[in-house]
Amino acid sequence: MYTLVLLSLLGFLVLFLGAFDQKKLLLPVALTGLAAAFILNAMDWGTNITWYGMMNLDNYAISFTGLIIFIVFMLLMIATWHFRNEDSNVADIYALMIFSAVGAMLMTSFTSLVMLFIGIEILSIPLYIMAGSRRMNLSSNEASLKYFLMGAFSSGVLLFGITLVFGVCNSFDLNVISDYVNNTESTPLIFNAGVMMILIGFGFKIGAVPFHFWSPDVYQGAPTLITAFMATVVKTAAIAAFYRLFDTCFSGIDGVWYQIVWVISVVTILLGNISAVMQNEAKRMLAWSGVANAGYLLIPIMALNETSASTLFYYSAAYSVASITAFAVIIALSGVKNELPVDQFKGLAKNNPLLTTALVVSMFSLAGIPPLAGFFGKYMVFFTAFNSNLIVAVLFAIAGSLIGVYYYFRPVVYAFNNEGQAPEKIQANVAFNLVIFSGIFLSLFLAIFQDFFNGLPG
Amino acid sequence: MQTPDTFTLPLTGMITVALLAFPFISGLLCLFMPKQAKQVALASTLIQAVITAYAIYLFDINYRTGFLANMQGIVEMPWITQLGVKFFVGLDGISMLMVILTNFLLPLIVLSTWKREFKQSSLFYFLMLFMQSALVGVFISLDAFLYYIFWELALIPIYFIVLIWGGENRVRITFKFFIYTLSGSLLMLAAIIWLYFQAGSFSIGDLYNLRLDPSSQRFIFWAFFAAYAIKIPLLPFHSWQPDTYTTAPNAGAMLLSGIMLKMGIYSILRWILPITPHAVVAYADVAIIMAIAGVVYASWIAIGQKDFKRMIAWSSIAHVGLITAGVFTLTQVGFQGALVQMIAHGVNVIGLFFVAEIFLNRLNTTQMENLGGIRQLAPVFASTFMIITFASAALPLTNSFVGEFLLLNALYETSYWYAAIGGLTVILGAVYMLRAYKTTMLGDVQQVAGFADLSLSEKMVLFPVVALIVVLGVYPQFIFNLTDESVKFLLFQIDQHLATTL
Repeated sequence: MYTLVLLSLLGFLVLFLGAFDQKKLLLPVALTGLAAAFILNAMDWGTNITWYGMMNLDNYAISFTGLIIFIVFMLLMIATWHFRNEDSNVADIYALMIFSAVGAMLMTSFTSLVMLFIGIEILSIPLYIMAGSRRMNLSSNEASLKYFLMGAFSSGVLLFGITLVFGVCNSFDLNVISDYVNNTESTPLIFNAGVMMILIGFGFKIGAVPFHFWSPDVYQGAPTLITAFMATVVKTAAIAAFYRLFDTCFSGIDGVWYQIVWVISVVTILLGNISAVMQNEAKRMLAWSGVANAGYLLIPIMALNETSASTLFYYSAAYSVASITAFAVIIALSGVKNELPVDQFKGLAKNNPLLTTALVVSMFSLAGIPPLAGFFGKYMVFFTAFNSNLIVAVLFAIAGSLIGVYYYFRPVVYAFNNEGQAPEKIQANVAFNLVIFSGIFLSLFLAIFQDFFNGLPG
Repeated sequence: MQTPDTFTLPLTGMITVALLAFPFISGLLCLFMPKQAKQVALASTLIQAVITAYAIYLFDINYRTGFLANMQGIVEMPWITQLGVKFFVGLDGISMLMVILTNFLLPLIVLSTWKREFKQSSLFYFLMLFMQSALVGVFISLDAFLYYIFWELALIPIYFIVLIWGGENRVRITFKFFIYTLSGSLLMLAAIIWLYFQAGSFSIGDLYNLRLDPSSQRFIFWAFFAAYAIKIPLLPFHSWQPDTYTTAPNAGAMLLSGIMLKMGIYSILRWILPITPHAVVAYADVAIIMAIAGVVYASWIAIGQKDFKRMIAWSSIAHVGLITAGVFTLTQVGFQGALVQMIAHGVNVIGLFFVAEIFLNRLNTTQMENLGGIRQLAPVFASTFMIITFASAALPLTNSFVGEFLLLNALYETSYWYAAIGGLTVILGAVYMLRAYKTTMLGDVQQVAGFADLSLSEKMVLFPVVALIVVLGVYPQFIFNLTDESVKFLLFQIDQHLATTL
């Protein structure tokens, strides 16, 4: 709760610092604030306090919130270098990122459907603005509008679903809904329809097929840092909320939604991976890879067993770390441009060993090659699925991983291609290099501390 | 190898871990000393060989833990408790033999690159030492999950070695190689997870004690066997191999064929035979036929090759086919023959690829028609090559003779036809090897004028190879002594399993 207050105040503070033109103070303040929020969040560990029946800070919420604050921290470190030539008000973007993180935090800790909806809106509205923050850029505007229309539509569907559920249970409280579900022989059709609509709303947010079509355009058009934000924070928060809601409330009626999620998950994995193969633009490719990863994340939700929560947490962490590293490399290479064709990686290894290492590690981690973090994430997904006898889904997931190798390896192969012009040595600042270093380090060694991570979401 | 009545220090887990970690750590050192990377790599592999020798000295054949014959140097630590994964390693006779193969061949492989200046050489030697660690890891893992990690880990350095320093078409070829092996491995991973849910643990002991019903054994068998058949490779899965070997830098090809494909055969002995004996008995004939078909087919193709390296690649398929067939006879003779022949093939193939490396260094080609008459200019080289040729053709008093004799013997006991057809490998092998020797070494000198004889560093690779060929040919007893207990235990394990179910 205090974390929430601190983060909101931090957002305002950053906004005011921007308004009073204190550009030098911006990042130190934002980063210190985030670090403080991270510590404050960690101090709530194990307390399990419920605030006003609206949010419950259990260990699940605290671990996901910690992950989200960490991601935002990393992204702001990249921003120090990314926005070095930017004249416009970067303070706005920093503040919006922090506000968005507040929404993400609500989405991990809600105990009431109202809070869920408010969280999603707080997360999304700043993103509509951020996606369009390159005002003079046509594709940035397109991304913003597309994201806004799709976001508004999905929020509408979600809200409709929430009302239907409310209409049957007469309460927004998760515990009441859960009691209702567990004590009812067969839930009425209108309730099931509500659950379906909530499912569709989440499908949009995590970018699962067939609600994914906005994501390639939006990922490509939005400024790269914002794309990284969408790929990591939004996906993590949405999947955390998805599991929290479905595990607490709707696990008793999994017959209603189980098969639909199964189909969505398998189709998402296959279509995401196959489409990614055909992309020649790095951000678009990562967008499709994000779609495919949403499919993997749905498997633990179907499985609904004791390892689901820790699998989701570990997978999100591994995926986010690898994505941030990959986007950082893209940011370094694309310079002032907003996109990066895959063949621009050509010859990267010649002058930029650090960036190449980052690229190799992040791509291999996303492809799920052992012993990188991404492999353990995939492994835990398979493990969880086996635990609930989802063997066929695992076979599809394996096929998807194999296809994934193709496109994740393409940038790497280009990086070691020495024909033609190689990019010059790219000089970045300390903060940026720190992100690259910690990205490599975490992808390599997350697995060693796996026991620690698995214990977190409890 | 000590006798039971003398008392010395036991082989401790410290040494096992050192064998695993030392190459990787010195590989990192290579990265930070780019100027001396080659020297660091050589020193590291030599030290590793010394550690291995020390491990052999401490290894107690008659050691008893009541667990997997003479398994020793065990380290068991929890790693991912929620998933039941442990860091669990140890050495028994078979593992020890494979570790010896890896660690004694690696100095030779590093030396074989002595004359060549690679671009980004620090990265090259790092990958090589990284690979060494991963290979040792495969051979000493006693936890199925850990084993899988090392199995996959071994693929990454070799992928980059071929991708960065390979020849023509390397992008396409390495990609095919990677996808091919990865698809097999993922099936194996699914099988490993499934086994975990049956046994409640990844530990090899628990998996050995598992008594699965025959029909699930079949699924598990094929999931594992697919991975191994691709890696070895057996006949229908071999199409990645000749291209990859040919395009790989010679040191990479040595790693691939000398050591890496032995991972597949070792894994059959360690993981499939004791866990799914029912399926093995049911499908042994299929596996033997796949293997023997590969022997004949690959030998036949090898005869027609014009490129020396490509010929070695095909001959390699033939040799390992015979080894695999021997393993699936499920007899003591077959196992011992396979173990001896794995070592012999590793030694010989390194010699052959180094001969190719010498051709490439001196004349920039491995096309045999462009060579010829080298014997007159380089008699020492020609004599060593002659011995390696004889060894590849399994002439008596060479190391391959012992192995192939035992393998054919075991096949003969299974079926006369297997031995008759498998025996063609010796005849066909002699055909293509002697033909290669004739076209490259004999004849007139025109095209190879100025071919210098062996330099010191080249002698330091070829002479040990020749020495190993002769020593193992005359005195293979060392290998039998080392592995006897483990082989007996393996057979006992299979028999017991077959007896207690159904």
